Amino acid sequence: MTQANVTMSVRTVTPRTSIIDISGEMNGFAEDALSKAYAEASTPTTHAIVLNFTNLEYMNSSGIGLLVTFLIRANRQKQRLLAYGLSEHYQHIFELTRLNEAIGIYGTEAEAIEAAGRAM
Amino acid sequence: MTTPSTPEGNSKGQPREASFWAQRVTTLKVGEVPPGAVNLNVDGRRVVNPLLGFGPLWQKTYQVRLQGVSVGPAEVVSVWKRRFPEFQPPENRLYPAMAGVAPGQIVLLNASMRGLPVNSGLMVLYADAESFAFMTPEGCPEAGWIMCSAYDDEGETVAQVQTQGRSNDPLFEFGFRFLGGAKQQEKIWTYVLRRVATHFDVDGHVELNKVCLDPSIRWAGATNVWRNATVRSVLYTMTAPARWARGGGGK
Repeated sequence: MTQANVTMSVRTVTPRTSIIDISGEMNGFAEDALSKAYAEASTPTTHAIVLNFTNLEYMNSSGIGLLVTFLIRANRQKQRLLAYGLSEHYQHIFELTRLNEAIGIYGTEAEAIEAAGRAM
Repeated sequence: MTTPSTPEGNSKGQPREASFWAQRVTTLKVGEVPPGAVNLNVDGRRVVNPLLGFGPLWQKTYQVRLQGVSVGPAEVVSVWKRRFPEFQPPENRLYPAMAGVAPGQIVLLNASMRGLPVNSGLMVLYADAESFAFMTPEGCPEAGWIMCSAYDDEGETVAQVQTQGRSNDPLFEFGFRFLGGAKQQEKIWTYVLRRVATHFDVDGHVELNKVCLDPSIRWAGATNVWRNATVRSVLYTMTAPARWARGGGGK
């Protein structure tokens, strides 16, 4: 089976907010990486998780499916999901799939962190 | 799971999969209606993702291994796209646009669910050489997407359908839970994958793995019932004589 071509690293910016930096390709093979990143990002005090898409190189429909799974997981833990760094193309994909109605989209990391703080 | 396709043909600065996605739309618009198809409950509707329906959210993954044949994922998906309507069971008639299964195209759906008509459609959300995906419109039995793909697993090609969806409204939820609607859907996709396998002379066993991603009811989706495609299809059928009398020809 084809290997995942994605790396995800987690940064804890405040006790309540974690950022996942996504670099590479979001397709079905990214499932394990995303799952591990969520486990690391989600602590008992985490109220918001921010996805950094600045270095996203590729995303297909399976990648969008993974984001839905991720969002459901976060929501069940009462965590908000936010995103920043989406190129114009990926912003269009979020609008097309209407995921922008469930995931707060921001232009910069600072804006996303500020929004995450406001939501608490 | 799907694999990325060969990158080519996109504008500078765009990700290599950019042309595989549908263009952004606010509401759906059906172009030319294929002969024999009923175009109902699609025009003017918005697409709905798996978060926007009513009932519990299910992810169902159907897989068939194409054992003993030398056929790659791209060839499987190419045939699958081309013969997509033929691979459906008789009660689930699909009418792709002239352009076929291509990003942004509408595939009209004229189906029957427990004897009741369901006239709706699907939008081709994404299509590359090794996968294609549909997104449903408001009023369709399920809110969500259907992802069809093929991939190589240690030298064998696996054809897969993965659906992520929740019933669109309380009536459909009742149908899925108590009238066998969920089982019927599972039979449809099992049938489709068997047909794919049969096309390649494989007597394949279809495996189904289902996971309830979110068991909760989304009450905000209860009002979706006003767009219920079955209710509207039944009303459309009942009023056919009046349309004929007016000279509309039942179209």
